[in-house]
Parts: sequence; C-alpha cells; structure tokens
Amino acid sequence: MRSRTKVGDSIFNVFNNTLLLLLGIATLYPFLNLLAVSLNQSLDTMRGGIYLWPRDFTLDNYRLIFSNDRLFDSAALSVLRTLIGTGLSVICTIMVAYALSRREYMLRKSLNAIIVVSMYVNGGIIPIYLMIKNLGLTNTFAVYIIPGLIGAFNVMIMRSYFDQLPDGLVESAKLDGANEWQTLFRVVMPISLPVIATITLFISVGHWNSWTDNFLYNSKESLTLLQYQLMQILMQTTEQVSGGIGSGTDDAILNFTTPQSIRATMSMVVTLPILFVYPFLQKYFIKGMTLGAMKE
Amino acid sequence: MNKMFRLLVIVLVFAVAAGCSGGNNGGNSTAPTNKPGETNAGTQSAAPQEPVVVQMASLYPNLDANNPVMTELSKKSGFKFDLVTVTGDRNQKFDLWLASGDYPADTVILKPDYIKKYSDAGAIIPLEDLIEEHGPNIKKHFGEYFDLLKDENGHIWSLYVSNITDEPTPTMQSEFAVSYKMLEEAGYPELETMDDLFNLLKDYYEKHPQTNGQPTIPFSGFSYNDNTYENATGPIFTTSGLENHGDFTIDENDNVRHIFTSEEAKTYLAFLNKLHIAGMLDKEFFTLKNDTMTQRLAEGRVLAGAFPSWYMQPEVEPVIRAAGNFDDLYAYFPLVFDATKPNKNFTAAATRSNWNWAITSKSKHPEEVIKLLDYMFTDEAQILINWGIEGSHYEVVDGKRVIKEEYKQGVAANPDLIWSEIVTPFYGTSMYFAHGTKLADGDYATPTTRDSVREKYDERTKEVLAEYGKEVWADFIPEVNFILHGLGQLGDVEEVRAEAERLKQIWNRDTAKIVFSASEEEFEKQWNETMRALEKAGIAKVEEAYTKLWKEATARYSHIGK
Repeated sequence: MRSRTKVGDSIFNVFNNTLLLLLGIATLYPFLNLLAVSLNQSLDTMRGGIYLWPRDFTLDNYRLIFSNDRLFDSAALSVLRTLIGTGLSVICTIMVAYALSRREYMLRKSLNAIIVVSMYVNGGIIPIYLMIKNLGLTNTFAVYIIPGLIGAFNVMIMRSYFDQLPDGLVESAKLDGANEWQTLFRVVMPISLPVIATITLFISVGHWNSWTDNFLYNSKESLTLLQYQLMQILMQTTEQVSGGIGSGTDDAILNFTTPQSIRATMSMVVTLPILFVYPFLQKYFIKGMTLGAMKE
Repeated sequence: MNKMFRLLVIVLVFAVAAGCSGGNNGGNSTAPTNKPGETNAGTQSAAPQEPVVVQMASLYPNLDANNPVMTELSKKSGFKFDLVTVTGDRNQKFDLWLASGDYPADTVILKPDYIKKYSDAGAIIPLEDLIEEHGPNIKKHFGEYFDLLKDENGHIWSLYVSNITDEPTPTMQSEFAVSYKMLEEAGYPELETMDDLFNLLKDYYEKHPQTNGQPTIPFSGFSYNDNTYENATGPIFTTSGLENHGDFTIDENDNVRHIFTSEEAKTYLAFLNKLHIAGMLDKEFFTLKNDTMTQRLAEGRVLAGAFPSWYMQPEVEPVIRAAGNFDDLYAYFPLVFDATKPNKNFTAAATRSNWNWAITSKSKHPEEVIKLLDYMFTDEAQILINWGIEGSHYEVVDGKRVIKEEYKQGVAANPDLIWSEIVTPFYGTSMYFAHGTKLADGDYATPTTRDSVREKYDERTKEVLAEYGKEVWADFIPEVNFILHGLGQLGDVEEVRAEAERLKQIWNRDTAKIVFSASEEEFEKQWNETMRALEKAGIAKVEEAYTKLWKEATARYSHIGK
C-alpha cells in the first residue's frame, strides 16, 4: 500500500512538475524573445530567426529610446502619478468600500447598484471629454488622478472582503468606544492587508500603463507621461517605415531602427520597473484574490 | 495604537494635499497657453511690433520648434509658432477637437475627408477672398489650374501645392520585382510582358527548385493592409496599362468602370491561376503578413512578385543590403500583358492634396496666417523647408544646391538629427513640391534627385541597371500621364457606400478561390460565380453613381488646361 502511494505520488509529481515547467517556459519565452529582439540589430531582426539570443548584438535600440530628451522627465511624472494616484485611490476605495459594507448604512443597496452600473455603462469619449473640459481638468496633472479615483471593480472586491469579516470585530470595537474612523483605520484595515495589497497592485499597474488620458486630455509637452512618450517614438518609427505621413517623407528618413525592435525595447523599458514592485506584493496578492472572492 | 491612528491621518492629509497641489500646479501652468489667441489679439492692437503668435497643428512629436529652419521661418514671416502636436489615433483627436471646439487657434492639417467634416461644421473658413487679397504667390503657383482648389460652390477650404513636375519622381518604380540572380543566369533578358516573366520563372525554377535548402517560391505577393489590394487589385491596372482610380478606371468616354468586373481583372487573375497550376505561385499569396513577407524576401527564396515601392524601398531593401546578399535584391519592370497597347498606368494628379492646410474659424488674424501660407508657395520658402539653411545644411556648388557633407554624415549617424535641424510642421504635408520639380533658378526644389537616388544604390544594383542601359528604376517607367484629378480626390458617393463596401467584401472573399482553382474550367466557373455575385450586389448602380460624380467634376474643370 505504502509503496504504491509513493509510486503514485512520484508519477503525479513528475507530471505536475513537467506541466508547470512547460507552463513556466510558455510564459517566460515571449519575454525572453522580446529581450533578445530588443538587443539585436533591427534590420537583422527582420530576417527572422531570433529566439533566445541576439544574433547581431547592439544597444542601438535602447540608445534610440534613451536619446529622447523628454524620456526622463516623463518617467518622473509617471512615477509621481503612480505614487500619488495609487495612494489617494487606495484610501478612497477603502473608505467607500467600508461604508458600503456596513449593514446599518441606509443607502447601501442603491449606492451599490449605482456603482455596479458604472462598470458596464460609460458615457462615450466625446461626452466624457466635454465633461472633463468643462470641469477645467484638461491640461492639468489632476486629470490623471481625479477621474479614476474610485474604480467600481476595486470597490466591489474590497467590499466583499469587508463583508466577510466577522461582525463581532466591529461590534467589539464599538463597545470599546471607537468611532467609525477608529474602527476603520485601527481594526478593519490592519486585518485587511491582503486585499489592500491586491488593490494597490491593480491600481498602480493601471496608473503606470495608462496613456489614453494623456492623449485625450493633455496636449502639453510638460505633462507627457512615459507611456505616451514611448508611444510617440513608436508611432514615428512606424510612419517612417510605411511612408506614413505623405509623399514628401518617403526618402528623406533613413531607417535607423524598425517598429518591431522599438516595440520590443519599449516593452522591456516599461515592464522592468513594475516587475521589481511585483515580488514585494505577490504574497499578499494571491491571498487577497482568493479571500476577497469569499462571501459569508 | 494612538500613534498608528495619527500616522494614518497625517498620511491622509499629506496625500490629499499632494493631490490638490498637483492639480493646482497643472492648472496654473496651462493658463497662458489656453488663450494664446486672446492675449495675442490684445497685445497686437496695443503694440503692433510684437510678433504674432500662430497656433498650428503639427503631426510630429519629435519636431524641435526652435530648430534653425523654424527660427529662420519666424524671422522671415515675423511670426512666432505655437505648435499643438497630434499623434496616436489622429482621427479620434480630430473628432474630439471638432466636438469640443478645442482645435488649434489658427491652422489645422487635415485629410480631404476631415476638411469636409470641418467645413460642414463651420470650424474652418473659406479662403478664396483672403487669397484674392493676400495670396499672390498661391495664384501665381497654380496659374490656370487655380480653379482646381475650388469646390462645387466656388469655395476654397484648404491649401496644397500643385504636382506638375518637370521629370518623373526619381524614386518611382514598378511593382513587379524580379530577382537579380535569375536575371543574371538568363543573361539579363529584356522583360516586357507577363508572359516573358512566366517563361523566365519556369526555366529558372526547373533548374533551382530549392534555395539554401528550402523550396524556391517563383512568384509571391501579399496585401499590406489585408484588403487584397497590393496583390490582386493594384496589379490589374499595372498589367493592363489602365488609369488607376482605386477600385475604378475611366474609359475614353469618361465612363467610370469598376475594375472587379473588367476583362483586365480576369486576365490578371487567370495569369495567377496559371502560375498556381504550374506550382509556381506562393501558397500563402493571400494570407502573408508583412513581417513574414519581409523575412521570406530576405531569405532569397522569392524570385518575383508584386510589391509596391513604398514597401520595398523602406522595409525590404535595407534588410537585404544589411545582410550583404546583394544577389537577392530585385529589379523592377513595368510588365504588361500587351506591350503594344498604350500604358496609362503611371498617372499623377495635378495637385498633391493629402494632408492639407486650413485656417480655423477661431483665428483672430486670418490675413496674417494666409500671408504665411502664401509665403510657403515661394521658391525661397520651398528651398528653406526642403534644403534647410545655406551654409549649415546645403551649399551651392557650380550653381547647384548640394547637401553639405557634414550634415549628410550627421544624419547618417543619427537620423533624428532632421527633427532638430530642418523639419517644420510643413514637412511631409501637401505643402511640399514633388521630387523632380525645378524652381525658377533652374535647380531642383527637393534634395531627392536622380543623383541622390543613385547615390543610395549599392554597386550590384548599378551593375544590373547598366546591363539595361538605365540609371534609376524610374527610367523603365513609361511617360507619366498627368490628369487633373483622381476619382479618389473627389470623395465618396454617400448613396452607394454600402454597395461599394459589399463589392469589396465579395472581391476579398472570392479572389483566393478564383486564383487557386485547380483547372481552367474551374477557374471559369468560379469567375462567373463571382461576377454574378458582384452584379447582384449592385455594381451597375455604383458605376452609375461614380460616373455622375466624375462627369460633373470634369465639366466643372473643363476650362482648365485647355
């Protein structure tokens, strides 16, 4: 009996490990391939056959991206946006979610419904643009923060986490004389770290990756974010290659690098910073996802 | 415990404060640019010597607004430029601008369909009166062709230059590419017809069924934008010598004919089918994407095919050259089915209408702006935006403008140098004279000349050209056929848009089936089926509507050029 279980176990282990290994390779390979492409001479890449190692090693692609003089300013602005935006957004989400989780709150049901509706229905680009413009938010840094301060999806996750906390906790805090603020910050928040970390990650990745608000609302160069700056570099290369803008440009521009290489290099430049944040939040992340999904 | 609470409150307060101050900063700093028109109009009346600020749309994010040519342009025109850059999904941005009235205060650069949208919405102003008063150079430039700028009501909504060149643009080349190595083995034969090409391919393919251990592909092609245009529709015009008007051609009686149902289309598709039956057509002729196509061409396995110059020149040739496989490069022949018929395929419209310049209705000083646009039509301005500044970007040697060696090498080492040296918002828009145009001083308007094109060729290419007694690929091209306007420049006919779209769908769906028929009988059957489907989808109605549009335009412009 015992030995059979052992055999069965080891068979399972072999399969399980092989499967996970394959899965790991499948996930890692595209990333390594992009890394190799970004380090390969761009014209040589077009001949194909670049897999894990660059064939014609060069740093030209990175040089091109880093030679953009707005790059560091826009990166700084992106970091600032991510820090401020995430901080404010997380705090606001917690407060909204907490209020909505309290059973004694009268408008709980109707507000919940309103928030859920906003997940499925939105106003369309032009009405939203007009609203943002009339609020005086165009060409401001605030437009990166305020419109997205509270996301319905995040509120829902957070609320369902708060929902499943034992009622006794809050009640006993009340009995000890804590007011609502104290209950939230000193009792509820310390035991909700997993879900807070999850939401923090969601929001910060969202802020870091976002460029459409930059494209639509802020045309000023001094408010350009990293993602939009990089997208402009890419657009310019693509247009150069396909003769894009007009007949006048077809020959004037030499190909320094190709859109493919720029795309790969950009992916590296923008992914690495967020990749370094990930390990610190990961252990909460997995926990938070499963915990937040439970209902009492 | 109390400590933790305090800490949290401090964090909160700090965070809120940071958010607000962030917002305030942004708000404060935008105030001046938000109202350039107003502040400007104020200062203008008070102190006229202040330079006028012109707020214009620009298509280039990398453009350095303080580069030497921009500075020179400011000095010459007395304007200061405030550029509003548009990148990304431009049409989306243009729609937003129009809806919110947030377009730049003075000029916008739009394609003809958006010029129409903007003029319908009253966002841009008609220019004919302004030109009458302040546009002597525009009038002089167009001369007898001036009325081409006007729409059916006699309004001029946007500006662009004419396209009358003295010699064909030297970068022009046919779309039929034939590999050097195959030409060399056959002793550089004269190629005129598609049948010449077929025989050449057959001989070579029999001897070399493999290239570098992989199967040889005698004839290939693809569609860049996935609409079967470059591989199936475009070559119909080329191989039959018909005037190319997109999906249409125009016969001698000014009737618009749809190309899909033409005899010429059948001839070309039959040729592809013949290649297929002989096993010489790329099996992925209709499905290749451009990255894979480039890779395949760089492998040297493709002997010939239909590839437009705007794909070959920037995307493929540099890759093959960089790999040093000069024998895998391609020669370009304007092949036809019947060499005795006149070839009208290489047409050039009389104007360069594309990204056109318009003045917005918000402009506080349209007279000043039209003077600037008028200035762009002078030889002096064209030299400035094309060549740069004498002494720093070009010099005059023996009475001819030559790019300075220093600048040329600078650009070769760092192509981005053009943005910080000579590019203006006019760059690449319809304000550029065509390559090959000569100015009043007898020299070329743009630095792209026969010599500059030849200079970029490799030695092998020059050898192949010498075998045929030519200097550039454009030399193979029959005389360019100048027309007043293309059908595409007249816009879409709204009433038949759905039918025209349906025709395209049928064509895209069926061409592969027709071409990959296993026998001639099957080809006939498939072709007839498709023709029936096209007829049912209303091809006659579409032809009629476009014939009406075309005849109205020709009647309107009939007095021009006579």
